[in-house]
Amino acid sequence: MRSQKKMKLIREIILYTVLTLFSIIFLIPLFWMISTSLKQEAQVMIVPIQWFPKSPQWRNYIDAVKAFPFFRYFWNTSFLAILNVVGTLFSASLVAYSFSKLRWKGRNQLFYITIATMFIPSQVLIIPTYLLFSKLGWVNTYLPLVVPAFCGGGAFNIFLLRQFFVSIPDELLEAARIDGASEFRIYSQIMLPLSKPVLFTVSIFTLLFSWNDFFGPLLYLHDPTKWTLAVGLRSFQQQYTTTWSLLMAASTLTALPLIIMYFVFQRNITSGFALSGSGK
Amino acid sequence: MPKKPKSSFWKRKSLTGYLFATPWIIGLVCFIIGPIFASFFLSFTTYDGINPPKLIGFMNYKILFTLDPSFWKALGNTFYYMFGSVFLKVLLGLIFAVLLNNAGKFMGIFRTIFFLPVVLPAIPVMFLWMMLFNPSSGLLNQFLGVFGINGPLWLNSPTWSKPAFILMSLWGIGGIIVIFLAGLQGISTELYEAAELDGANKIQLFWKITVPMLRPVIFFNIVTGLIGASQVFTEAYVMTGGGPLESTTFVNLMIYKLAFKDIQMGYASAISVVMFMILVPLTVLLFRIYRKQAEF
Repeated sequence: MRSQKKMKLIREIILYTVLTLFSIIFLIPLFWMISTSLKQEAQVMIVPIQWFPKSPQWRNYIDAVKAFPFFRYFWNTSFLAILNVVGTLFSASLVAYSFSKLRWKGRNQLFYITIATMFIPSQVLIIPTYLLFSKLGWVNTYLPLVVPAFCGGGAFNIFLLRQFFVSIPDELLEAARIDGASEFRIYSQIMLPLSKPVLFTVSIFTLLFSWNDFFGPLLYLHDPTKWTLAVGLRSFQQQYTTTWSLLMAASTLTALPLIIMYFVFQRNITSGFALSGSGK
Repeated sequence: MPKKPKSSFWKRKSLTGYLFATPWIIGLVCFIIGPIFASFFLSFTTYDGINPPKLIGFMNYKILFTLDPSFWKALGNTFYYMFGSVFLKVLLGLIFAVLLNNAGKFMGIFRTIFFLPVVLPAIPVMFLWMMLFNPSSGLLNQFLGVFGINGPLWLNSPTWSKPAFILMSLWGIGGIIVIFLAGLQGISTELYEAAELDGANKIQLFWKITVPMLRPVIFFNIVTGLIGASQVFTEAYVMTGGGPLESTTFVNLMIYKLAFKDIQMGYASAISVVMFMILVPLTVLLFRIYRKQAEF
């Protein structure tokens, strides 16, 4: 019995050592980003490594923000992210309501098609979609990056919302229908308030996705004043190719809003992710 | 007589249904179904984006399969990355999820740390890894140097550039860990207790209970992982430009360069169609899983 207890203790020590070790390994890159952002450029590439900057150069952040139009890109990125969230919330929930609580011919077939499109290898869509936007004269505007969000907001968000809506009992809606409420009213005043958690999950994922999108802005935004942080940072890197301290300062500033958001909404983000991953 | 008002009632209901679904019907047709057909059509043409596309039959495919070694190279690179990254991510993700699941009240803290890189924006993360991969002053090779290992050239070496990308992708393993953790918490502890009473050790428990019980989740992660990894683009575009010696020219980078730099939209479409056909079986598998979940 005693040796069993001892075994358990040893096992726990090994477990926590391994996990702590890997936690440190996982945090080192992030630490390195911040540490580099505070170094003098001459100290960045020196051997042996300098873990902590000798005298933190907070100036790097001011220099980085001045070296490229950071605030403009920050605003552009936020603007696009907000429009994407609004568009997705509105249109995906509307469509999900139709798929879950309204009856119409072809509904199930269309829903199956929707599921099938969730995993379409997107390579095949890029060129024709670009040509479509180009023919519409939308290249170099925000429309290609915003309009799709208002057109259903993607199969996956519809699926996620639909699965949640299905779990809400029909009786709740029937009562309102008998009272003569319109479907839009039932959707907006009964369904949406009951679905706050899943709507929140959808918002956060849309926000993350839009904030991190590189390919879309790269393809559609040619005018530098319209760029987002992702594309702006890339051009900043090409101009200041060896100025790692400034580049890391700008990178830290770009990542910061997401890191803050992560720590505030951590539970929603990880549980939403788990939900999305198990296909339930 | 009572039938008529009922049918008009259902007609009206049906109309509301369509009305609510309209945004998606438009999106589906314009941004997914339409483009798929358009890609197939364009793949049989030569098209520069200005003059109307000219039909040339199977010419693009003929060139692709017989005359263009760079396509095969790109396809090989993409498969290398897809399978390498997904295999390691799923294996290590499962192991870490099991470890975390045993971490009791500290589970939350470890999960927070492992998941953090997943939310970081891609471009800053790539710049960061370019520094870490620096052959002389980068953290990675300095660390290897401690053990007397002369680290490889990573992104500057045709042999090590893809392993470098795979290593970088492992930093984002938190997503898979979280999904596995949710799956693990769904396994009844009674199963483990019963097996332990029968004298099974921890490793047997892992292979005889955990893995079989998680089979659907493992399968799901492999398939979604493969489809996701097949779209690898930004890493190569930002960090290596496809080099050295085309060792990181993935299919999507090739499509991008052909379509938007060389403006060979027809040929680029043919490549995208081939890639699509290769991946469609995976899409069909996922469709089956999801349809079961969504049973009416």
